[in-house]
Amino acid sequence: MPATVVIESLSAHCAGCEVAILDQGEELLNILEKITIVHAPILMDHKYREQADGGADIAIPRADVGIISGGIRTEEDLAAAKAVRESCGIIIANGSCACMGGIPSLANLVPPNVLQAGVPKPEEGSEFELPALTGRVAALNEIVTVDVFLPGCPPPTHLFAAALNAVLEGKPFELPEDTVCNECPKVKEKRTVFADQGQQFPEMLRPLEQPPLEKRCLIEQGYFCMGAATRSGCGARCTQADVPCRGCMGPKRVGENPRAEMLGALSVYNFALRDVHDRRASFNWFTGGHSNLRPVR
Amino acid sequence: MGKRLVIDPVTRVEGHARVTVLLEDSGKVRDARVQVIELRGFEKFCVGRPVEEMPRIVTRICGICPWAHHMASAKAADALFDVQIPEAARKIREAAYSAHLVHSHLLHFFFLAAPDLLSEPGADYQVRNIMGLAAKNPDLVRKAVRTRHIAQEMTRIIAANAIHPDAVVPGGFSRALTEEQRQQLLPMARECVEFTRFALDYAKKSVFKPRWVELKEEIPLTTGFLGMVDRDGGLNFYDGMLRLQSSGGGEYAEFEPKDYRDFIDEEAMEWSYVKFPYARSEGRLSLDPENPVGVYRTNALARLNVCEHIPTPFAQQELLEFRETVGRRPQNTFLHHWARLIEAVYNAEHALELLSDPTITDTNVREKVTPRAGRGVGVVEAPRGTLIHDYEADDKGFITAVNLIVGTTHNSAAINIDVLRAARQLLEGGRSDEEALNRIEAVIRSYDPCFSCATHNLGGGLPLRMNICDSRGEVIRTIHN
Repeated sequence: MPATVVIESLSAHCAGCEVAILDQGEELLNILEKITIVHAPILMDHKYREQADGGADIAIPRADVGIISGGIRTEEDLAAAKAVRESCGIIIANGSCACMGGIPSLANLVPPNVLQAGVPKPEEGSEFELPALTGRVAALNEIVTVDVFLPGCPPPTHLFAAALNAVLEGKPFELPEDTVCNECPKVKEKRTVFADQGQQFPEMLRPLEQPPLEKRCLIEQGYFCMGAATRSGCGARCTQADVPCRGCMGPKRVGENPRAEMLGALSVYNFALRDVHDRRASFNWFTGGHSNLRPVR
Repeated sequence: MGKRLVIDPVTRVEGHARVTVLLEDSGKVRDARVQVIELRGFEKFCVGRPVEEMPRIVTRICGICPWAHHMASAKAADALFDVQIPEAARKIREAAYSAHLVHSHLLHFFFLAAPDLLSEPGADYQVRNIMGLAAKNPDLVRKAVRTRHIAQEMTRIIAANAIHPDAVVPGGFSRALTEEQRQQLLPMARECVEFTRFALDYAKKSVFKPRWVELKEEIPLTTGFLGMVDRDGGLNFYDGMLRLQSSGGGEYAEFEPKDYRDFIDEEAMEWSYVKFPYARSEGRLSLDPENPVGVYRTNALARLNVCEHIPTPFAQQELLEFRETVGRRPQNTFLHHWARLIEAVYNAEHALELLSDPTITDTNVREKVTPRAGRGVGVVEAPRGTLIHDYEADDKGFITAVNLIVGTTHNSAAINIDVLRAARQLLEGGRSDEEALNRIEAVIRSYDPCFSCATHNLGGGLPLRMNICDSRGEVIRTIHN
């Protein structure tokens, strides 16, 4: 009998993870033969409640696997995450938002009163209620237990297939614990281009002033590239397009702050924290959950 | 107090929304609203970021149309830093963007909308979806799945990342297109042209034309339209002038996208996290279904209504047939589906045209950019409508203000009015069955809305006012920013 699957997305998300599932291409139809989807708002019309005028609780059908994308931003997300957890045997946190907070968790840099200035606040007892925003954006495992983490923005298609197949076969799914540098085609010379020219202190460039050299490591050229502190698995997609990594796969261990490791990688080349442009956000674009990003007043 | 019906969540759309319908004791529909129930705050947390990082951050507004945000953002950054991009970069951007639009339009038609259009009437939700369609029409669905994927793969070949691209940079494109890649892409583009034409033919015969016979007698919601045209008045998604057509008539205002604030005002409602833009010339916004004021629509139907012609041959032929059948400026919401597939043909043809030009592989694809203070507005036609990114930056080129108006946002008012109209008609006589409720949702789906795209913080730069209404919809308090 095919395994039953729930595909739910919480509101701090963009649906890219769901499109990435479709990007399996024709392989998608083969995957669909192995599973029965019982709830997936983006693809089918199963609702939270049996009757349009019934109860306040979110009801998710029982399923073997629950695939959740998105981070937690509203009270309704909290309820949905808990409901899916209760109904599903195994929970896959699909994508960087569910695993670590993702880009929407950059909102954790903003004090709540600033973030919510001008945001509609329905009056008590309104006939058209809106779910309240939570105090900050949280990753899924800050609220419920997660069995499988699948980071990436979006997760690489081959990893999604591997994770789902492992879960369906009852096998463990582990991600590699090395960095994007191991997959990156660019070459490290163990010194910066500035050192090549005899300069003692390198300069950190913004990725717009000049195009980078094609073959050389981007950090060695003076660009902030998170690849050195980011888990591999993506195939170094961004550096292949000559743009620096921003860390979407997250740190080698979910929940950690990649900042320390990245600072270590930079210090090898004599770069210091003060050299980093936008140092409040740069280390944690995708990892603002788990209290890695906090408002600075 | 009467009953309340809640459709939660609205399904087969992007993002989080619910429909709340209020009924009187007699069962008559008193009010109905589409509430967008998510909010991420991009306009706030982008403040302080370097401008050049914006095209990589805002892609995460939407995973279905990341290229639209990527492109609008890079164009805003080009304008802010006052840089002219090389011709080859423009061609690569447009080729990738056209392929992206093929993906998005096919995704919407087959995965999200077709279950309403091609399933048996009253079909159960368990088969009223792409899986159910695949069981019924395996060949058609397999081809649709394949072609959408090919279009997506084209963007991956060009930019390394299909979902959440980062290769469009201020000043151009991060890497040149190789001749080898061009040769790989050409047959893919041809396959897209072939399938989109086939899909349009199929849908015309089996859905659009037969359905039009029933629909043309209905009195549709009548609104203005907003869309982009090139210098000759032709359909264009990447660059051009904006046309804002007044409701009903054929007159329109044509303006440079950067001047949008002179033509569009915005309002907030306390019952939704989405903004409500309206035509400034009409002075105010009213969602009254009998007498809407200030309401305009954007998206596929709007684009075909404001343009004079389509610059590619097959799509132009289709446009003529469309106009012959439904008129020059049709209003019926259902026609979005037909218009969207014509646009899919155009974009496939346009991608093929751009890739057939060997100069697209010119290696000069990126200008040097120097950060500076300023304001930059970048506008494209996103799959879901006119997309405006408006940035201000300090002298180091760090963001100080962001305003975004997204395709679905422009449509907030129209979607709400259309849903109320549909609810009144479909729930007549106390109906609240699944089929009737799904038909209300089908109205929303015609707009191909993206609710995650649509929600942002308010007060991103435009003057805004929020109306607090009582239970009868009367305004009891107004708040200004």
